[in-house]
Amino acid sequence: MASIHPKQKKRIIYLLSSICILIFLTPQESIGKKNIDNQISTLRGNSNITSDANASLYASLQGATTAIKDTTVSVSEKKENQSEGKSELKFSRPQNEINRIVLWLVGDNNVLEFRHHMIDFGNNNLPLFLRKFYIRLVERTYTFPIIILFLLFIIGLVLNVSAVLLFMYFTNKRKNHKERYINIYRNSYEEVLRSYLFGDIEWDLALLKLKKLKKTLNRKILTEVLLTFKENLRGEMDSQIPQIFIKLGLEKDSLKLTKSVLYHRRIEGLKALTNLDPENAKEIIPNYLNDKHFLVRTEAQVSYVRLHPEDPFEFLKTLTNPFPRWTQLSAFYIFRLHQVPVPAFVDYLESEIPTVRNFSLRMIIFFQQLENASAIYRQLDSPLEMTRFLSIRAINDLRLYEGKSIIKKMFQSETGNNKLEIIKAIKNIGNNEDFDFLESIIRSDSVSLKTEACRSLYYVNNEGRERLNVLNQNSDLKIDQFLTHVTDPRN
Amino acid sequence: MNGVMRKILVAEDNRLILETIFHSLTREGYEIIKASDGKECLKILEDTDVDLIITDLYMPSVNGHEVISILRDERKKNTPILVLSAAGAEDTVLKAFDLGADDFMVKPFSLVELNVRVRKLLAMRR
Repeated sequence: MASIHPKQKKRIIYLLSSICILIFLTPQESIGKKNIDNQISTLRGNSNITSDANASLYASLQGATTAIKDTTVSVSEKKENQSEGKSELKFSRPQNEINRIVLWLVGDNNVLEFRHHMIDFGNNNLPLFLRKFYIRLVERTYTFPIIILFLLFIIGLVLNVSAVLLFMYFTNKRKNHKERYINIYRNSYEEVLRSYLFGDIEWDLALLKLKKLKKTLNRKILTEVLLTFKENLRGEMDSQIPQIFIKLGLEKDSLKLTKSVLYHRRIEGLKALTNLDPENAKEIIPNYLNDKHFLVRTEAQVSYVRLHPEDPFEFLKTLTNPFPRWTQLSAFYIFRLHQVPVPAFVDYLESEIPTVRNFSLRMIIFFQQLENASAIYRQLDSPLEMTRFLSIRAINDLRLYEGKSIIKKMFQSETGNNKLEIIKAIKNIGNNEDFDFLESIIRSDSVSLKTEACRSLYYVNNEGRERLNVLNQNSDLKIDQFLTHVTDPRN
Repeated sequence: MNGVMRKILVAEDNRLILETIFHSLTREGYEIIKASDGKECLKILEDTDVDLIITDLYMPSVNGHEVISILRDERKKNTPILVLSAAGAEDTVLKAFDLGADDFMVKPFSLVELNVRVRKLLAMRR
């Protein structure tokens, strides 16, 4: 049980004791007398006091002044007074601001009414020895309404803390129980399945030993165990595990999960079906490729790559949402892990979705697919900087010499990064015709472009180096440091 | 196996895989010692001599790379080490070999293949 710390207990006890001391050690007489004197003076000032009832009240109040200890008030007298509508036992207004605020919040009449009820209760229900103490407490509290607030605050705090502690206790208990339950059944199912997979027991006996399969939680545990087996083992067991999944009817649970409103359950269902029931998964996955939730889309797209080795990226043609980097990485990883045959990524270069085009360019570069260079050149006209950047890089990495003239023409209108990429490309696909172009960049003001141009000129061929030396001798240019930088093998 | 039961230490944090490997290799006639992380593996090796160590790479407390490194530096210089890991990236594999691993298998793995590799490594040690 998450209990209150002993030190905290002590503090709470000290706090409550000090409140009680505050209530009971403050001099009673002077305040009580002041209270009653206020009431008397109010009544005296009230021109509506004419009735006998009021007079008797006045007298009783007078009596109360001399007998301070006896603060029992006749409720019936008060009621008569109130019914006549002539006078009221006016609640002496407290002097300080905080008490005024409390009264303003709660309302004078309500306070008065409640006070009457409390005193009435004490008179009618409590034994004599407790009555005085109780009425004194009520009077004191009403003299200092701030105490009400304080007490309510303390009570509220204690109730709140108790509620939280109780909630935590029961939640923890439930969680621990569930964890123990899951561990017990997971171990049991692992043992049974292992024995069956190794041929130590037959299927009928295994089925008997797989207990409580009617419960959803148990079926979920069993699915997880099967998934763990599938993810870690290959070979003969690889084919047996999906058979067990179907035999036990667990695919129905996974299909149901895929229809859930909650995205994480849809993902769970898709994952289970992809790994354990590929036939069913192939039919269902296309429905989730454009799901409203991006994580579900990611899972579906990665599953598609896995389930369609003949055409793993065909789904790119039907995508309506962007193809994010993380999904690209995941799909690429699955693709490589399962050694899926490489498709021609140039087929996806005409996609309307920019991220698909960018992914295709990256894959073309990675797999060195030279088949359709004109499709790459067309991407140089893209309004998106990244697409043009990747196209320039493709021209560079794939050594597409025909593309050199195109990228040189677009140099002036390009962004900084793309300009750098163009200069890098010239290093690999350039020749003597490009020396003037590089020299013009070396004569420009940009340090990064100058550095890269020097590097390109130095590495394009031997004549390039000679040209660089000639330029270096030109004292106006001052490219010594650039030369030192590009020739340093650490760079 | 000439009547002498060969001892194999398996360090794997995934309980299911650990038990599966235990089950599979025990049926082949080996004595298997289980460890659920690198720290336990090193502790066992302080007192026990084994003929082969099968270790995962990414484990709690002490990972597989550290285990290989410590073993090669200090204690079991000649004991063959077979790494069994889901991390099959080239640099991970190369790093394991650089540190002193004798063989590397990527998960998902075949138990039949594992048995063959274990047999080969033990034969080399003999």
